[in-house]
Amino acid sequence: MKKKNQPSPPLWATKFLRWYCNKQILEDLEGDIHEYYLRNIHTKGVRMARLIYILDVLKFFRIYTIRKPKVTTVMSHGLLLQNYLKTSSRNLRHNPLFSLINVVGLAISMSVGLLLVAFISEINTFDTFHKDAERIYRVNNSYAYLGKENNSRYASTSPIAGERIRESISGIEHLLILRRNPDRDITYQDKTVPLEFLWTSDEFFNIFSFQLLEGNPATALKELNSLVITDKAATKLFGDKSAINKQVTLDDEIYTITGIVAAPPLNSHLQFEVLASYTTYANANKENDNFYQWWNMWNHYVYFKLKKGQDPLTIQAGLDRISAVENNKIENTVIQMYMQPLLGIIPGDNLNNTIGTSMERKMVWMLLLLAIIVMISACFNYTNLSLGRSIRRSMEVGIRKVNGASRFQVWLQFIVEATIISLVALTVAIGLYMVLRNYFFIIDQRMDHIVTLELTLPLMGYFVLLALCVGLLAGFFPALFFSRVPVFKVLKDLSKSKVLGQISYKKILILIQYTISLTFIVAVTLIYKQYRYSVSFDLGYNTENIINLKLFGEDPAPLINKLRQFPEIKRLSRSGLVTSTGNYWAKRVKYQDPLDSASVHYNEVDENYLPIHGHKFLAGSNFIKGSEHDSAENNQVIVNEALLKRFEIGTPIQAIGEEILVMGEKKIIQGVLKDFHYGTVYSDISPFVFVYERPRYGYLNLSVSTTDIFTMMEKIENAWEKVDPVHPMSASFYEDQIKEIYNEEASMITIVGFIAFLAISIASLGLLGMVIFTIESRLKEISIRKVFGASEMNLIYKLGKGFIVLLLLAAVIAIPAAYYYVNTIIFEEVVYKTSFGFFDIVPGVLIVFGIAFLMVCYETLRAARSNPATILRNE
Amino acid sequence: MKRAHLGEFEEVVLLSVASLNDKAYSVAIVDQLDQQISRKVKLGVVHAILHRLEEKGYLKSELGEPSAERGGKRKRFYSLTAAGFAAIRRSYEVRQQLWNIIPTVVIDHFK
Repeated sequence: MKKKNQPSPPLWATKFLRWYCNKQILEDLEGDIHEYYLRNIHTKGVRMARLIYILDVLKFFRIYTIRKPKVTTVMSHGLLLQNYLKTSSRNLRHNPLFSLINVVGLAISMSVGLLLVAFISEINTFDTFHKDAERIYRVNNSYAYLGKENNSRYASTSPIAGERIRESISGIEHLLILRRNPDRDITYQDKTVPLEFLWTSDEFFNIFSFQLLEGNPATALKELNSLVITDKAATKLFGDKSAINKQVTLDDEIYTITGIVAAPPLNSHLQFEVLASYTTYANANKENDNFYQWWNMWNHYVYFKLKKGQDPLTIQAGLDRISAVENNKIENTVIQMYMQPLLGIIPGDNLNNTIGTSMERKMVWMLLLLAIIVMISACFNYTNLSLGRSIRRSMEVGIRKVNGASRFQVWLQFIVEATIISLVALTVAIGLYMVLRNYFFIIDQRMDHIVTLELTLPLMGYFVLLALCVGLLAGFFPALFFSRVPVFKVLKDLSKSKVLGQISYKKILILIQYTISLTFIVAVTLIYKQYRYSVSFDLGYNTENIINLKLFGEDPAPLINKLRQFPEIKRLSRSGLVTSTGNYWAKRVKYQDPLDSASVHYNEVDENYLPIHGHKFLAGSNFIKGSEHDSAENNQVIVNEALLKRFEIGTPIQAIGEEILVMGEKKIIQGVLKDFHYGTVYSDISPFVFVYERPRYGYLNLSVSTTDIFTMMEKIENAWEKVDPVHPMSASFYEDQIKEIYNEEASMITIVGFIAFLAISIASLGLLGMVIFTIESRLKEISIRKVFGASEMNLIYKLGKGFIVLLLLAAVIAIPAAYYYVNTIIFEEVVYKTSFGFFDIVPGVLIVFGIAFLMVCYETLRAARSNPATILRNE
Repeated sequence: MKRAHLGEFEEVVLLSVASLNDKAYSVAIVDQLDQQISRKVKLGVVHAILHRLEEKGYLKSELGEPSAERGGKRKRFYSLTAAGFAAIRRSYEVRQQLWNIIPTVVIDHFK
C-alpha cells in the first residue's frame, strides 16, 4: 500500500512501538505518528522527519500505552507448557524404541560428560584458595645446553636467581625460595617416620594462605633447625600429644617444632608434610661451590607476590636482564627465566621438575574434546531419529499451527521434548557416573591425589545445566525443522509431501558418527601396537626375572647376607638407579680437550651388575673388585660405544686404559659395552658411563628363579622387616617397572578404547534407529517389490546399499585420519616406532562393519520376510 | 465513571471533537486547535487526553477505514457520548449563568 519512492520511517522504531504498545491503541497511534512523519517529510525533510518519528515513538512510551503483562497470557503459557509436557511424554511412551535409543545413547555419552564436568570444575579450583592468588607467580626456567636440548622448560630454578630477583627487581611484595626434598626420616624418641619435606622461609606464609594452626607465622621458620609440620604429620609422629616445641632428630641433628600448619588441601599444587627453615639448608651448603651457581637450577623453586597494581611485564623485563647477565658468566648453557602465574600451574604446561601435583592442560583439553565428540554423536542420534519420524509428527504440527500455534511455540514444544529426554537420560547418567568414577581412579592412579569427583550440590547444578544444554543441542535442529513445516502441504497431502527430503543431511550425520567411531578404534589399535612394542622393546640387556629392591640409606650388608641364603635368589647386585624406567643421572665428562665437556648419563653399580643384566662387552672386562675401601677400584669406569664416538676415543680396544675426567675426577676406562637403551623409546642412545660404586641409596638387583613368586616375596619381605622396620619394602620386577613408565600410554589406550566403545555403541544405536524408520516408511514399496517377484537378497541389496556405501566412505576418511593423528601427534616424540601395516587396522574396522552389517541385514531381512498381503491390505 | 469537574484543556478537546463531528481523530483535533484558537499542542498530549476522556466515559471511539497516507493504518474517530455532551453543555451553562450575573458596571469598566 505504501507509495514507492517514499522513504519509510525507521523500521526499528516501528518495531519498538509495536512491541511495547497496547494492541487496542497500537494501530491508530502508529497511523497518527506516520501521518505526522509524512507531513514532516514535506516541511522539514526526510532526515528531520525520521528523527521526529523516533522521538515520537519514544515519547509515546507511557503508562497508558504500554502493554500490560496479563495474568491470562502467563497462565496460557503455563497451560501450553503443560500441554507440551503431556504430548511429549505421550509421544515418548508411544515410541519406546525411539525413546530407548535416545535415552540410552544420551545417558552413556552424558556420563562421560559428567565425569569431565566434575573433573574440570575441580581442576579449576586449584590454588584458588590463596589470597591474592592472581598476584602470585612462580619463576620457571627454559634451559638449553649447547643449543641442543631444545629449550626444555623447568619449573625449578637456581637459588641464586631468587637472590638476584630480591636484590634488583622492585615491584615485588614478597619473594620466597623453596627447596624440595624427597622423604626424610624424622625421629621422635623411638619412633621414626619418613616425611615429605620443603625447605622454606617465613615468606611462605606471606605468599601462600596455608593456615598456621599453632605458632607464629612471622617467626616460625626464622631460627636454624626449626620445623613446621602439618597436623596430619604431627599425628603420625606424636599421636594425640601436642607437637609444638618438641624436639626431633633429623640426620643426627636436633630440630625444634615451631608451628603446626593445616595439611595442604587436595587442590593445592604444593604438597608437603614438613616445612623446614631454609637458612638451615643454606648454611649446610655454604661450603659447596656448586650451590650458588646459575646453572644449579634443578631443585629450587622461586615464588613471588607482586605489589598491588604492578605490571607483570616490567617484572619479566627484569628477569630477562638478570638472565642475560648470568648467562654471560657461564659457557654452553643458556637459561632463560620466565614467570608463570600461580593459577596457571594447574592445569598448565608440560614442565620438567614439577613440584607436587601436576596436570597438563593438554590432557584436560584432550579429555574435553573426547567427551564433546561422544556427546555430539549422541545428539546426532536424537536429531536423526526425530527427523526420521517427521512424517508422523508433521501432522500434529500442522494441526497445532492451524489452531494458531506460532513458529516459536512449535519450536519450544520440540525443545521441551528433547529436554525431557535429556533429563531422563541425566538420571541414568548419574548412576553410570558413580560407576565410571571408580574406573577413572583405577585407570590413572595419580588422579586419587588430584581430584575427589564427589557429588556435591553445585556439581549437581552443573550436571542439570549440562543436561539442559544437551537437550537444547539435540532438539535444536528438529525443532527448527518442525517449526518450519509448511502447514498446507502437510495437511493436504501428507503422503506426497517430501517432508522426508532431508535424507542427505541425515546421511551426513551418520557418516560423521561412523567416521568418529572408526577413527577411535583404528587409533586405539595403533596405540596399542606401539605400546606392546615399547614394553617389549629389546633394550640390549636382560631385564627378565630381576627384582629391584629399593634401599633407604641403611647399610644393606645384613640384608644382603640374609638374601644370599635364599635358594630362589641366584645372583645379586647393587645399582644407583634403575635404567630404562625414565630416570636419569648425569655428570660432566671431559676427555683430553679441557674445553670440551659433555653431560653424560651414568649409573653407579657394583661388580655383579653387568653380568646379571647380560650387558655385552666389546672390549675390556667387568669391574675388578678390590679390597674394601680401596680407592683404586673406584677409578674404573665402563662406557658405551656412543661415548667413544662423542669424544672420538677410537675403537673399543684402543679405548681400554684411556683416562677420562668425570666431574673432574680421573677415571680409567675398564671396559666398553655395546650400545644399549637405558632410556625409553622416546629417547635416542647417548654417551653413558657405569661408575663403580656401592650406593647406600639405590637398589638391590635380585636375579631370581622360582615358580612360587608369592612365597618368595613373602620371604624377602620378612627379611626386609628385620633389617629396616621404618620403611615399607618397595620391590618390583624390572619388567613391571618398565611397563610402569608406559602407564600413560596404557591409560590412553584404556580411555580412547573406552571412548571408541561408546562412540561405536552410540553410532550403532543411531544406525539401528535409522534403518528401522527407513524401512518402516518403505514397507509398502518392499511389499510391492515382493509381489512382483523380488528375492530376499535383492531386497537386502536394495535397502542396505545406501548404508553400506556410507560405512565405506567413513572408513576411507577415518583410517588415514587416525593414522596421521597417532603417528604425528601422539607419538611425535617417539624415536623408536613400530611399523603400522594394513593388517593392524583390519580387526577394528571389521568389528564396526560387522555390527553395522548385522543390524542392516537383520532389519531388512525382517521387512523382506513380512507378508506383503497383510501390509498392502491395511492401506 | 467519574463525575468529576472538567479540566480546561479537557473541555477544549471535547469542544473540538464536537465541532469536527464525524472527522474527529487525533491529528485533526491537533490541527483544529491550531487553526481555531491558535493553540499549539503536541500529538502526545492530545492523545493522552483523548484516552483519559474515553476512560471517563465522555468520549467513545471506533476505527475508520484504512487509507494510504498513514502507512495503511486506520484512524480512530472519536465522538461524544451523552455524558460528554452533558459535560460541555453544563460547563457552557455554568459560564453562561455566571456571565449573566456579572454587573454591567464591571463589564463597562473594561470597555
